[in-house]
Amino acid sequence: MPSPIIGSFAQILAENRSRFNSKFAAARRYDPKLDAAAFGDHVRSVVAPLVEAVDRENPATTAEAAEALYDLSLDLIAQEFLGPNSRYPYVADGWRVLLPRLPRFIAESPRQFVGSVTNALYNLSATPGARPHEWAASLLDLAEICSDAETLLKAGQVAAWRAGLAHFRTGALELCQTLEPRIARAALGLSPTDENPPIEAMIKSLLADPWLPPIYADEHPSKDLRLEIVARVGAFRGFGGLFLTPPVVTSADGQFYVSDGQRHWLLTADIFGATLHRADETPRRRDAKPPLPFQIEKDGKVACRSWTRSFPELENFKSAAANETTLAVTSPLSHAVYLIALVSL
Amino acid sequence: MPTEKPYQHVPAAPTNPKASRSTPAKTFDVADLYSGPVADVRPSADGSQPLDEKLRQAYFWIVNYAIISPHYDIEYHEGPHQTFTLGDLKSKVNLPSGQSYSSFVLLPLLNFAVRKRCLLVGGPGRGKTQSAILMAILGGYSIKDVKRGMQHGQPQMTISDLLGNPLPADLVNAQKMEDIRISWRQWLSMRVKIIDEYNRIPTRTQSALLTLMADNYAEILDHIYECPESAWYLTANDEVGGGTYQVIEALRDRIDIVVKALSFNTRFLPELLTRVEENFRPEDIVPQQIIFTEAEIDRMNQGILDVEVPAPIRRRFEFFASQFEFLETAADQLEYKTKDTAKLAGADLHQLAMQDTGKDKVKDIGSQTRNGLSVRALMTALTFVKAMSYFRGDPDVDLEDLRQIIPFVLHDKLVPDLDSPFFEAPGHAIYRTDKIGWIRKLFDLACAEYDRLNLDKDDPVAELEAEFAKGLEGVSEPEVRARLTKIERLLNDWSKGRKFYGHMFDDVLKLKYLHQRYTNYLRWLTYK
Repeated sequence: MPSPIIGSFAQILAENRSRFNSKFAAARRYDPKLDAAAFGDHVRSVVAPLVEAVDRENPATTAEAAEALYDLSLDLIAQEFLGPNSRYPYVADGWRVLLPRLPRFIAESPRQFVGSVTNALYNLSATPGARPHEWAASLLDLAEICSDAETLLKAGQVAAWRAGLAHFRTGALELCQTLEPRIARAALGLSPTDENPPIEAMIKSLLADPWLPPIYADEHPSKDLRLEIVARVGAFRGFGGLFLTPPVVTSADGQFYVSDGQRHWLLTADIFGATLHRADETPRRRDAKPPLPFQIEKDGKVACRSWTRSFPELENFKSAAANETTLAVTSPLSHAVYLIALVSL
Repeated sequence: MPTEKPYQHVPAAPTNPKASRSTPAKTFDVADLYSGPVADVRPSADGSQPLDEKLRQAYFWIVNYAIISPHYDIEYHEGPHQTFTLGDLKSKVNLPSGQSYSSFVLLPLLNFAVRKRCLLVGGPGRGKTQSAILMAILGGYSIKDVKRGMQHGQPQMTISDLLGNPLPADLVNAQKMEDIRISWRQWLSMRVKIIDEYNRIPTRTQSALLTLMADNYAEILDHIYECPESAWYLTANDEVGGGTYQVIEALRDRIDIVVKALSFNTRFLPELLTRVEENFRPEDIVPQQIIFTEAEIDRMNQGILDVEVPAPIRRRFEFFASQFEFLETAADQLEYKTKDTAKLAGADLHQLAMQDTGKDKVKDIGSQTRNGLSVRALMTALTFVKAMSYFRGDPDVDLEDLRQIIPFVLHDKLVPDLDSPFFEAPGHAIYRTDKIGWIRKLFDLACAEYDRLNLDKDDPVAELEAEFAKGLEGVSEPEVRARLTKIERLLNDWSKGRKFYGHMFDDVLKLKYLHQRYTNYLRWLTYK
């Protein structure tokens, strides 16, 4: 049996009973499925600990936090993001596990902060291959060194890129330049106390090479490189992927486009992950073949500058496209797009 | 009305996709990490949310959840639309093909944005006060503050009730007026002011209210209280002043926009029943994300003023507005040939208007009114028209914005001459009672006349204006003489016609003005 609500939250609920009831009634009017018992359980088991944590942190903001969390809960349970029917377990976990450990930031701006964290967990959950649990762990680490919610949320954007949202790569690196260097380093997964090399130089290196791990971004370009399949992106729709048939890949303006004949996607990929985004069509203008550094032969032999390597799985490849740093290849025997790049050994 | 949307779900942006000001993202924006099921927490580049979008979200939240007003009487069309006629009188029903709005919700909201004075009229229990309360809550006030600040008109209301009191101790001890401290009423400092049933306020107290509304300050015993810029909401059960006291004309004239509470549609009775059963009060649950801060209202106001009125639209409005003041039979000298002259003289305006001047009284738009438009009315109209375009997310005013807004702004400004032959014409009797429809008809007639005269393409006065607007610096004597001749020739051409209409009155006065400016300049040139 869930424990009863006590303390400040109980007092706030009692003082505003008719208003809170009115809000619930209005919510149920538009969503008759909204279950009073389930909502009550959520308030007791999820909202109450959050409000209590905020109350311990900053009692002056308890009422505002209670109001915001109640409103958000109604909205999110009605849409099945929270509650027993939640379709996004990471969102529900975020409310139960992550947010109670961040009361200082909730107290600062309850709706903005909790809403942002909820949306981030939703986006990470909804992106195949992204790692919401990794992002949540990063956020907790970053909370140790961020002084306010705004900074933590900015650092969280960088962490989200590292948790698999490859399409945020450029924006996240640009954002690093606006953060304090120690926070930017931490957001990149590095030690915040290191001072060298300067963050600007690191960001420049990372921008130039999507396959460079931040931990090596302070090193001079290595000669000890090797061609590797750095990612296999996509799968047959019947197995939870997106493609109906083995896809075809093209490139335009340095970006990869993938098509299965019926639908088209923009492919973004880097060392932290790969994401596919629906596109209206595959752009007609293809990048000119030379002077891109990659070449592939029918037997699966790939060449890039002075490096070569054979990949048996790419024999008789179906399509290939390249940009400055990556070769994308598809095979008639696979529903995946193979990405090949030069990486440090 | 929606049946499936969850509670407090503020409609997702963009609420008017066609008109959205924000360009869709062409590249990935890392800020999108925080876009998702919780609306309006995503940070924008400058940390602020587009306020036209927020205003639209407020509108849709109100119509979806707060006020049962399923009327789309402000109709916009995008392309062809269906119209059906019903009954022997051929009552029309249009099915708008564009995003259309309920005036009862939209206009108070626009009034909130431009901080003007809105009168909500209609029978008791139609949601006038409720609507005003919601506007105050959008302004960031708590329900308690709103209820405390709301002034209820009643026959015993004194100036002290309205404005405040001198402190009794100071009244006894003060040696001079400055020593008397005034306890000003709290509501004076509010940025949303509500006067419920203003036509029940005694005449003397109405005068104090007039100063407050007109000049934005209160005065007691030589002490002045400067009020902040506020949006005003006044309610009245009867728009013709049938309250306990007749509303003084000057006070009525200060009303910027009149909104009618339309009747309740009984098909929405189940909604009402649920509200009764669940003790539902929308003002309790206004979502935080549609509440405007003072700074946001200031910014929104500036955004509205920045909306452009393109010259062709402005010209149509000028043409429409120029129809009403002219009264050929009111005076001998041109400048005094106005309805105002007749009114000041206490003459029977209708009698004067009906004297034969050779014009077709049904076609002469000016003959339908007993007055012209004041400068204040014109300024208010322009402000609300800009607000309408801003609300729709347009950077420029378009003709339909003008057509939709004008009837509400001029509702109390244009007084119909109900004895005018226009109202006797077949099918026009209905305009005796439908003032909104009548003013819209006036605008349509003015636009039709504007088109007939081909003024978009052939407007000699506009050409002369444009020439003059370039400045007189460096204009040679022969050029000035040529321009004077052009003006004289134009007037000569017009004098050959037999009819003198309202729009010509303003044009002739403009030509006289230009002629005089050129004449003075010529005198200076020849002296030099």
